[in-house]
Amino acid sequence: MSRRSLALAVAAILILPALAVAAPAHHTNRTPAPAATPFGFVGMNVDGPLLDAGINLTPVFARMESTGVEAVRTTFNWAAAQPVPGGSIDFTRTDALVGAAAARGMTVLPVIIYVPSWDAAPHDPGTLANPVDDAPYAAFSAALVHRYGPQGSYWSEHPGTRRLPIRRWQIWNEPNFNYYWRQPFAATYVRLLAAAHAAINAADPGAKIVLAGFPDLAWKLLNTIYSVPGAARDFDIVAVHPYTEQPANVIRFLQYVRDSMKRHGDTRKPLLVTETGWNSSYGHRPADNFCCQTTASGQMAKVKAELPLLAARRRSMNLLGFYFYTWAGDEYAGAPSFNFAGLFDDVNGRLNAKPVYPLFRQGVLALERCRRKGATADTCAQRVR
Amino acid sequence: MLLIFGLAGFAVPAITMAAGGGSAGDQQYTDPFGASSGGRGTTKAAATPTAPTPAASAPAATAPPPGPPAATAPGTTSTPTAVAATNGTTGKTLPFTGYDGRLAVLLGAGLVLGGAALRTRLRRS
Repeated sequence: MSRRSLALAVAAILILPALAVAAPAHHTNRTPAPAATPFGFVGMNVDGPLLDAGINLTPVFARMESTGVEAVRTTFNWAAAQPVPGGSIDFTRTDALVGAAAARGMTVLPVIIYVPSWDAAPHDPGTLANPVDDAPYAAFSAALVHRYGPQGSYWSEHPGTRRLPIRRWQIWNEPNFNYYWRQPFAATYVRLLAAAHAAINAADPGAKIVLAGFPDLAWKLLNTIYSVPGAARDFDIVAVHPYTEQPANVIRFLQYVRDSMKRHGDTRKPLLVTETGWNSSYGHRPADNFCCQTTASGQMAKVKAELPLLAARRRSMNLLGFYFYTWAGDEYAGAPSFNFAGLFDDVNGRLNAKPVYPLFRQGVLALERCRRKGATADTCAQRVR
Repeated sequence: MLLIFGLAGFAVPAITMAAGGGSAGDQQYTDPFGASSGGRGTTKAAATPTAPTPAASAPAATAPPPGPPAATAPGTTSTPTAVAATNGTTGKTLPFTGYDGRLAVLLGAGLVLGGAALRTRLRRS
């Protein structure tokens, strides 16, 4: 073999592997349809008017399910459930919610929050109380696991209900805000987290503890959590609320949080977006004081842009899913901005779909590669080919 | 943000509801990336200073270099000035999730070396 032939052979050997690497990329570009998102990826917050005493959640959850919602996140209100110290726990409201969700095959992510007066620390007017003693909160959390966990009494008492045990529990909400927690929050919040973690895992060793969702500079707030010795041992999933004006910045937000986790050696844990959305409050003074509000058409455009971004980055971000904020709001002139976050507006007890709703439905069904949902959230009556 | 309505059904003895209804005030939420797009909402928000909270964040003069936007003190909000100071911090890139081309190069180099060695050995024999 001549030198020239040898050079050609060497060049071919070097170039061929590069072509082999490039080929799948071209193939991907030719097939734009991504794989369906895993079950539970699309979630919805249930709050505001949906927590009214008289509301019948059955038709609401039926519509949610047909929209493509596979999981719901809501508050489990300790203050309402156990108003007397050491007294029995009233599961009436949580039973109704868990049952309505299970009937449609939707999982529930509870946010355990609100302290009864008998364990409430002194707090400023217009803010929530923190617990004086964390043990009763932990005991309530364990009681919830015994009610709705894998061996939960709710399932044995309701044999006709589809068994969908709750395996993830979120401890509180946005403790970085004065409204939710006395500041500085990190040390005292982690103390509650540790107590709840121990109690919940004692009741269900397979249960996962979801950190409270952080908005704003979540990656910096997460750093303060990591700065508390041993804090990382007390949660399994990091939760964030990426409220930001641009949909692309939601992904940037997640990346910064991932960077923070990496810096603290916590890369294996998944992320969960427990709130995301935009408020159509622009022009509804005095609601015009929120960083990420927009118009009704802006809400449509941003939601439409965000959904495929979240799905496209779910693997690289180890993103378990997202919970849209929110299903229904209560819009009126001068209302707080978040009252305009819903896909529906509550008008005298009737939920009216906003222009963003059909876009949201179309977007999430596209993520699930489903044209029409079946009777339960984990079924699809008509698949997208 | 989790809104509570319907207090009749959710008697909450220890909770004093925030004015306007059971939630952190809108003014507490800030866009960590600031008014980067000049969109309507942000422009409006920047023009309307948010209500002050007990502790203010770092002034613009102490804004950090490019990178992830700086933290405010926990439980506080950024002032419009501080939010504006975070503009332009777009230096981060998303993680690479594709195939690692270095493996192919290594494989190629290994094949070349193997071929050359085989050729040398055959020529000697």
